Amino acid sequence: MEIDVLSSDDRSLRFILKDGNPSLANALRRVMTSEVPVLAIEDVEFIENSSSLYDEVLAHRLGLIPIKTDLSVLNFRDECKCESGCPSCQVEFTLKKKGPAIVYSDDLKSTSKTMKPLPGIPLVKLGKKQAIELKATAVLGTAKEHAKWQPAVVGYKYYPRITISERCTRCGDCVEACPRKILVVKKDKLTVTDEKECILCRACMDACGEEAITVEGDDKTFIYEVESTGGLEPIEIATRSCDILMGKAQELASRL
Amino acid sequence: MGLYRCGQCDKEVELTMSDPIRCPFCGFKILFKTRQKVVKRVKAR
Amino acid sequence: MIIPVRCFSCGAVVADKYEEFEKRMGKEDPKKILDSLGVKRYCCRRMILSHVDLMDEVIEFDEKGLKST
Repeated sequence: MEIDVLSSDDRSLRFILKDGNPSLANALRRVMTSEVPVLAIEDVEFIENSSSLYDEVLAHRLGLIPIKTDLSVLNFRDECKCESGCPSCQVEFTLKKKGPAIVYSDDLKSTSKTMKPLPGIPLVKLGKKQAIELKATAVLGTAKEHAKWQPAVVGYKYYPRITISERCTRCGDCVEACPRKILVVKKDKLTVTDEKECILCRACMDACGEEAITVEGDDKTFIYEVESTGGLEPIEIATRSCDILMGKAQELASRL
Repeated sequence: MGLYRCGQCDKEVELTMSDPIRCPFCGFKILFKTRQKVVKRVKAR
Repeated sequence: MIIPVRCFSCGAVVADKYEEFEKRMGKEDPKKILDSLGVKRYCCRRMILSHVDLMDEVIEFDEKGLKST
C-alpha cells in the first residue's frame, strides 16, 4: 500500500491511497469520523443565565464547540486513575459575561494553556439586562457516542480513470458537458487537464455521440479528503485512525 | 408560593396559590416567574 | 434563532463563518462568499443560506421580565 499526500495544512488534508480495497477504504473513513478521540464540553454548571436561550440549548451549543486537543497528555475520564476528574482527564472552562454583548467561544477561559476552544463561534446574544455565568467541563470522547466528539469530516472517492479512444472526433461536446472543466481540445487532441478533479459524473460519456470517452472509478485507488473541525490536526486524525483500526484487528486476532 | 416580576411596573411580586394572577401595585396581568438562585447542572448533549 | 454551531448533516463548524457572510451579503454574490469562506458542501451551505436570525426579536420580549440593572 502506498500513500501520496496531495495537499496538507492545519485544517485539511488530501491524499491518495494506492493498492487498497473498498472495505478498507470505508473502514478507515469510519474510524476517522467516529472513533478518534477529541475534547468536547460534557458537563455545564449554570450559575446565572438570564439569556434568551434555555440552559439546555446553551449547554448543547457549548458541547458542539471544537476544542484544541493534546492527546498525549489526556486519558478518557472513566479510564483515568483519579476518582472524580483531574487535569489529565478533563479541561475546565469558565464563562462570565454581561450584556449588551455577543458571547463568543473566545470568552471561555480555559484552565489549560494549550487546549482552547475554536475562536469566533457566536454562542448567544445578550440584551442589556441579560447576563450569563457558567462553568464547563470538557472530556475526551468519540463520535460513536455523540457527534460533538467528531474530529473531522472525511470523504473519499474512487480514483477516476478517463480513457479516450480512437473514435474521438474532437467535436468538443464533452468539453462543454464537463461540470469540472477538466477536458480540453488542445493541438487537435482531446486531453484531460487534471483527472483528480473528475467527480465521476459521466456527463462527458452521455454527451459523446461516438462513445469515444469512458470514465471509470478505480476501486483500488482512493482520493481522501480529511477536513478537521479544529480539535486535532488532520494528519494526526489520519495516523490515529490507523492505530485504532490496527488495535481492533489485533484484538480480534488475539480472541480467535 | 412563588416570586414573580410584573411585566409593566417591573416590581417584584410574591404570589400564593389562592392569589389572583395580577400585580398588586399596578393591576397588570402579565407576570414573569423569576429564576431561583441555584446552580443548575446540565449535560451538554 | 441563532446560527447553529455545526452543520446538521456533516458536523462541520459553520457558526464562525456566519458573521462574515452576513457582513458581505448584499455587496457580493452569495455563491462567491460561501466559496471564499470554504463552505463547500451543499449541506453546510444551506445552514448559512437558509438561516433567519431572530435573536434580537426574542431578546426584546425576554427582557420584559428581567430586573433592570
